[in-house]
Amino acid sequence: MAWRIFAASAKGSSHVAAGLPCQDASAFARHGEWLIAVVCDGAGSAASSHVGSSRISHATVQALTARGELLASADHADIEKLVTDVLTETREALAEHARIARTELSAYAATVVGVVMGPEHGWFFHVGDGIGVARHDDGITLSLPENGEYANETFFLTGHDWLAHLRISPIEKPARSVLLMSDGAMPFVMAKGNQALFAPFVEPVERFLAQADEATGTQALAATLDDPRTHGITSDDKTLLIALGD
Amino acid sequence: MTQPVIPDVALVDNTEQRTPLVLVLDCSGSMGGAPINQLNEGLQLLERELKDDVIAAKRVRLLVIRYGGLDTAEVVGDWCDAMDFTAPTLEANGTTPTGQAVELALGEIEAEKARYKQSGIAYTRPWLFLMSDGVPTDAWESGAQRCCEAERSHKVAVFPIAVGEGSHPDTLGAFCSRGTAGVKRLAGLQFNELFLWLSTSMQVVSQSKTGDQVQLPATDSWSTVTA
Repeated sequence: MAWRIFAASAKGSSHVAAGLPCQDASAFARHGEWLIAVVCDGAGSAASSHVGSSRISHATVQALTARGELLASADHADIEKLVTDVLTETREALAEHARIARTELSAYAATVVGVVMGPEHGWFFHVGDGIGVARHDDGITLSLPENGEYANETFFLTGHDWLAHLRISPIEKPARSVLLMSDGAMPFVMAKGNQALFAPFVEPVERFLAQADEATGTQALAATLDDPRTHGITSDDKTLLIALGD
Repeated sequence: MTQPVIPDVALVDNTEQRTPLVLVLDCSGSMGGAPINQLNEGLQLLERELKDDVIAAKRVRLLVIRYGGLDTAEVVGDWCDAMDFTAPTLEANGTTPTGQAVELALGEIEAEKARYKQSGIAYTRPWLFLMSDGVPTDAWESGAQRCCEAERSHKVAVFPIAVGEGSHPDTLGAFCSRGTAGVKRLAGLQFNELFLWLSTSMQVVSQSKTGDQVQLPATDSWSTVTA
């Protein structure tokens, strides 16, 4: 099993207008037959959330990859410990960075939606919003967003109660593709109600990527996320990561 | 080199997110003449501005409550999406039953939220926009207390606006969790500027996402500084 991975982010129109950086970030790696990937969405209200999302996604993927040999034999409890340890380290490193920069950890507020996926099974891990989808031959496994009562409120890895909001959910069957997305991409990647992928978007994308090399596919995905038609849908940053199995 | 987009991709909005806004408007006798005319013009401006923003037009839900007459508070029209909103032409007469109007608004907000929950529609925190040019003439204290508690428990965001010399910011302040400091005073009859600000704020809020705080536009174009 070899994963081919395509990930792109596009700045939202409101971020372009305000001269803000793209606050989404993604990172991915392969460890043998395992896919390791994370998408982070920096809080709009946090000053340096683009730094937070970039650091969190990269550090988390790096730390999980370094312990990648544990994945094949891990059970649910092992993964809970592994992910909790890795996210704790990532968060502590970020807190240290905040201390040096003389700012608060909350300035780096970002959500996390990640996956470790092997040939037969895997897990999503998730703090806050964004969505993870594993597509099986029959059906899908979802990791859904967690919001407060209101759609514009969510939970961040930088929050003091992040552990209470960390959700680790098993993917119990082989997947032919795995998707991670920030909430800006959800309105057009997911169908109404977020219980299924929106086929008129996802099918042409996966069909194209199946025949593209990673560089071309990634560029085309980036251009698609940056399509002016998305500006009538959301003013937010949009990130989509698609991993295709073979 | 620009990479073309992936061919045949549908890009449509599948979200069903709403931002409820209730306008609680003082239509007592003292609003007669220029004030009510300017208020009506402001409402028309709000309608146009919201309809001009493709995202806000779909997401903002409006309800207008007028209060005046013989201590009467009433819903004008029904909840509607901004794209279907037609600004009403309000008339000024009668008294100022602010307490009753706010109680009606809070009830409507909870009923609307219940409908969203039932249909699985996500929503942002409702706004209660309370405008008055006078002193309440009804037993307003319990309504004010309920409103204040609703804001403290995060059920609603309350924006009291005091209009003209006859208004009473300290009383209006009792309706929101920040007290008198939370009351904005309209400079003269700058209703157009006020509703332009409201429209811009709704555009920001309706498109907001992850983040506890939304950066609202400045209010200097229409409010006076209260010491």
